[in-house]
Amino acid sequence: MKNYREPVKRIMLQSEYLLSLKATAIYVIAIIIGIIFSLASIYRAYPIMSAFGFIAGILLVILLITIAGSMIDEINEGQTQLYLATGLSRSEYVVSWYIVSIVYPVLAVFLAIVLPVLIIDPPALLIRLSPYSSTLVPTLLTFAFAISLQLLNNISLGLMFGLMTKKKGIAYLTVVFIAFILPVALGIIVSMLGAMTGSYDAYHSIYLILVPFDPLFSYMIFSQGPIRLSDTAILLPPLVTTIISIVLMLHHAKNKLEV
Amino acid sequence: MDVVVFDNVTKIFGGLKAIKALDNTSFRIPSRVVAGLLGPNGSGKTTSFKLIMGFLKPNSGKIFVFGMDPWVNEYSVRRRIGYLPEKPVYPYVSVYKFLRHIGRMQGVSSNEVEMFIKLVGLERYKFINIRGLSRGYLQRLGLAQALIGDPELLLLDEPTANLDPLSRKQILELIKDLKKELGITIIVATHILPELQEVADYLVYINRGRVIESGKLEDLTHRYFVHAYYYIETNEPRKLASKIIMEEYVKAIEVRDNGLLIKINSAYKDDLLELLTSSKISVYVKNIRHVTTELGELYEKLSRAS
Repeated sequence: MKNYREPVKRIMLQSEYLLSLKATAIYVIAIIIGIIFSLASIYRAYPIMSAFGFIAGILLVILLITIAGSMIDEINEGQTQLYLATGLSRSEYVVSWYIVSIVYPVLAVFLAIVLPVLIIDPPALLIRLSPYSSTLVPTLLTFAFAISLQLLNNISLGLMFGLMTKKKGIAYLTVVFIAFILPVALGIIVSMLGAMTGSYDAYHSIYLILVPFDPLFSYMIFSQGPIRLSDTAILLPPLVTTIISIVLMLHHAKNKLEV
Repeated sequence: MDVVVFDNVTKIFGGLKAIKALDNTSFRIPSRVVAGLLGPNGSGKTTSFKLIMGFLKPNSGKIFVFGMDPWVNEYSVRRRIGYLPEKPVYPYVSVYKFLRHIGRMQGVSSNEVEMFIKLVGLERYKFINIRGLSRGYLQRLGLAQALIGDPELLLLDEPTANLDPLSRKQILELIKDLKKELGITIIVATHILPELQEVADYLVYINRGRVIESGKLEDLTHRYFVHAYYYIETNEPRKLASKIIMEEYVKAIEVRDNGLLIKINSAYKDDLLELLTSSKISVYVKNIRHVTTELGELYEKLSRAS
């Protein structure tokens, strides 16, 4: 049986080192989010939580891809060679970066949302929050899962394409396209088609394109209107997309990544 | 045993405007030698180093380092190699933090890391940010990073580039010591031939991605009739010098320790041997050995041949 202890040790040592270089940005993100959710929780301002979450989701995804994109800079500049020269394998190197630039920050974001509310007002975690009282949106706990999954998903896809092309711009473009351009473009298309035909509901299904990438948007769109999706139907597709992108990224790192 | 084996290796970069960095290249580097990897800019030296390290995957052909494929057996191969890249880009951290991390990855204690910092003369700059170091000190840092973990094979890409004469001398002394005391295999890619000539005993000449010549420096010296230095061990250096200085083919002679360092064209090596074994002179001669070769001259001849 293959011994995983040594590779895991190397990954953790490299992650620890990378974290010491990038920690400030991650801590700042977690502290800002934590303060906002604490204040919202203290003042029972639940509706602003999800509204803030939607905006924060887009900003965070851009901020985190900037951190994750540093890996592509390291590869192109040749810094990676210094680390690989210690015996670290290409896939271990990519995993270390993934942990530091994606897993740790996403975990920090999740805890920054959940922990203050859990301490100040635990039942609020299970209240269905709504920026507009007429709409149904997920509970704060599900919302925290959704935003974490969205970050994982978008940044994993961005990093995967960035790594495959060795171009940081491609990583940024992928993330901006998925998190911002695609939802806006689909909104415009649906609005135009709806305005032309007089039936918006007929084109509601076009938004299904977003389901594998954008659970927050999916909650907003598919908790009302003609098509309604369950929590599982909203959260499972992006989870699968995320896993596929991680597997492809590791496959590329092991078999094709030249530094 | 050969430490590095390239067997018909081809490496192509790029898509439409592809560049063949290595073209059906084959060579071997035996263990415990200091090998010089020579060739003009863009000849494929750095690509060869990256292939040895398993950073690049060859398009065709096979590479074996310690008998293993470096692209596949990444950890097993790289943990035995120390690598100094040509233009290393370092992170924005202090010298100690960077080297300590390299040490931890290789299971080296902090005391040993301190020892390497001292060895390369960086103790005064230990807590200075790497980006604030001069080129010479960066090169020392690169050497320390390459030496951590007691490598069996050391790859040095332009190790003395941009260094002042004193630093160059120190680094060459270090290479000599490593060879002498630890017996490790060292491959040096450099343009500074007089320096390489002081340490190398094996040569690979590469041009436009093809290996033009490779082998022991002494063998290449004789094959291409270039000037070489021989050391004759004797108890009577001055007497011996007076006897052979008259020979036309002796270009230079110097008394050094208990012997003579002479420079001749290797085409006349047999004549020299004949002279040294003659009855009048043989009584003074204990031993003769090849010291080094005029690498500049050899380089010129190899360039013309390619």
